[in-house]
Amino acid sequence: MNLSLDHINAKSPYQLVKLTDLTFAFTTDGGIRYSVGFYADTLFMKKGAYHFFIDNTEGEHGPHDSKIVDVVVAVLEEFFDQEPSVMLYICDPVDHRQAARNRLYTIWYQAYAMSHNLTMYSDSVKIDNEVYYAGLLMRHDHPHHDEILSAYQEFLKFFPVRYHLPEK
Amino acid sequence: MSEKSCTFASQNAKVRRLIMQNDLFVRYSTQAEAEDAFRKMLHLKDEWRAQVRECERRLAL
Repeated sequence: MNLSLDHINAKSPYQLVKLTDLTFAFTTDGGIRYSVGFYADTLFMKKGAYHFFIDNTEGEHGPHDSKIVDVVVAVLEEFFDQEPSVMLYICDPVDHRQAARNRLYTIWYQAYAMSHNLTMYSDSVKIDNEVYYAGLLMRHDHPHHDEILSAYQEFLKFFPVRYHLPEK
Repeated sequence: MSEKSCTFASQNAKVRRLIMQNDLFVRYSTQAEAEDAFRKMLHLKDEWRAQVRECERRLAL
């Protein structure tokens, strides 16, 4: 997979710079630098699953910036325009603010999923006394949609201490 | 199509589906295996983050 910088920049409020085939960087009006993109993930699928991330490169906290979600939407649109793929995400627990991130990402991704014919499944798992919020998005017309959703839910059953997040 | 051939086709489809699933998904036998894979995924995320920062450094961003 190779995401088009031109396609993304045509829709993004911030101009992105390409780092790798699937990774980009941008700087906000407030001077905060982010990297955003995907890497191949083989946690439960041998191929066709990519882990999405958006990273505040230097860990700086800035004011609320509504343009960031528009960058995310531009990147996701390019991703889901490619070959049928599965997007996975996990809310970073590095500073124990994963619950806050999960609330934000759930709002972003659910709105995006509903408006773009995507299936979203989110849940949480607990490993080594840390709760991880994770999720999956894929197009309704993915050729293996039902099998992927079942396999993901089966995989999560290996983690007994968890609770299901209500779908909104 | 006769009833017999319909049954046969259905069985073939089931076999194909099972083969496809085996090709597509990583299977874990135990909770320990699955947890270990999850930890490796977290480690991969950290490695990937480091690689991205190295790319940014090389591009002098």
